Amino acid sequence: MTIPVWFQDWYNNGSGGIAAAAQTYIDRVEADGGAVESIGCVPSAVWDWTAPDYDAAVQTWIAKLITEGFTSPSSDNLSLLNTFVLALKSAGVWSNLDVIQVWAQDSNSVNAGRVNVVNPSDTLATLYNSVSFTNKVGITGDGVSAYVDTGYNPSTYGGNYASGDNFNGCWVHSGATGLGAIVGNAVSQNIRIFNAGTSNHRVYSAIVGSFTDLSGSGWVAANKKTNATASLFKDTTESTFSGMLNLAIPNENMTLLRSDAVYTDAGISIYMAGANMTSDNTAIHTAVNNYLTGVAAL
Amino acid sequence: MRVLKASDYQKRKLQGEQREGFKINFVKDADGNWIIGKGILENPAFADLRSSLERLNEIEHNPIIEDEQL
Repeated sequence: MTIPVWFQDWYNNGSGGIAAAAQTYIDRVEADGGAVESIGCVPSAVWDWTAPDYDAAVQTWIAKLITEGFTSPSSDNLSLLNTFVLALKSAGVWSNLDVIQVWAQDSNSVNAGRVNVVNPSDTLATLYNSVSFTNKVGITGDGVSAYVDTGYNPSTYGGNYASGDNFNGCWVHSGATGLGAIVGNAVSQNIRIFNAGTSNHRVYSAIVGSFTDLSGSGWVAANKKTNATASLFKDTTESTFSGMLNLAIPNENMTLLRSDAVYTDAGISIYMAGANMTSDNTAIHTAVNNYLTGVAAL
Repeated sequence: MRVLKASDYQKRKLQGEQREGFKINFVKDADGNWIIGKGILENPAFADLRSSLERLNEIEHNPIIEDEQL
């Protein structure tokens, strides 16, 4: 049975549903004059209340949370997520994405971030060792062994991510100490993005060769535009590369907070992947920033 | 930075244990030791393994430095 979202909102009163004061309690008076007990309640406005008009993608994501027994973010957070999804659709970005993992949310649990918003039925992300979660902020590594297996293997996924046409992006909420690998694979080094100023970033290439500063908090993205060209972004500042190799997309899941043996103590709020998004970077940056700003204010 | 070191026996016993979406995975340091971050002791998902995790030895972290990082 699919439980309607409006009911979930009401049921999750403590995380943003209808306030207790707006509910009507059904009381039972003990026949022997004992204490009055509340044996159930319904929201006073239940007959008048219209279910939030979330986009179908958000509805499906919420349904997956329910199926998995995960706590949903608050209705205010869901509204922000809905706005975020609609912004991506309006910009023509959504249909070119394979993955969005929203680690910054207010459910007081990391689990909602494990569910892919684009395709909620995908394999859940797995957290290794001591990845820490901060409500409304996201996940953070330990620089030793903690990382996330996203569950997303672009070489077998059959999505938008393709050789010579791919994108990985994430919002860093706290910058790395040292050379922190924020996106990569557990074994291969063909793709690796560092939250640092370095010439070691790789986008299915040998090292890009030119010093590129992707350090600090904010948006970091790597796009392979063609077999021979790539763009790295720090927020909306683009660094372009040409004459590159085009190494294979390895048959591995994408990892966060790790590339091969390099881990990071940086933190991530959102991870996204799909087809090349170079021309859409500003729209994505704006949508992500608006969502995160809204969640932080909840 | 201090980290936790496992013997081969401890690594075999704990490696791959999974709770609530979290999984234990020891990694090698530059000396070939099986290590894990100390934060594992505070992860509530592994509360039932706390006594085993507390038996791991604490050592100074000696990370693998890739050639590119030099």
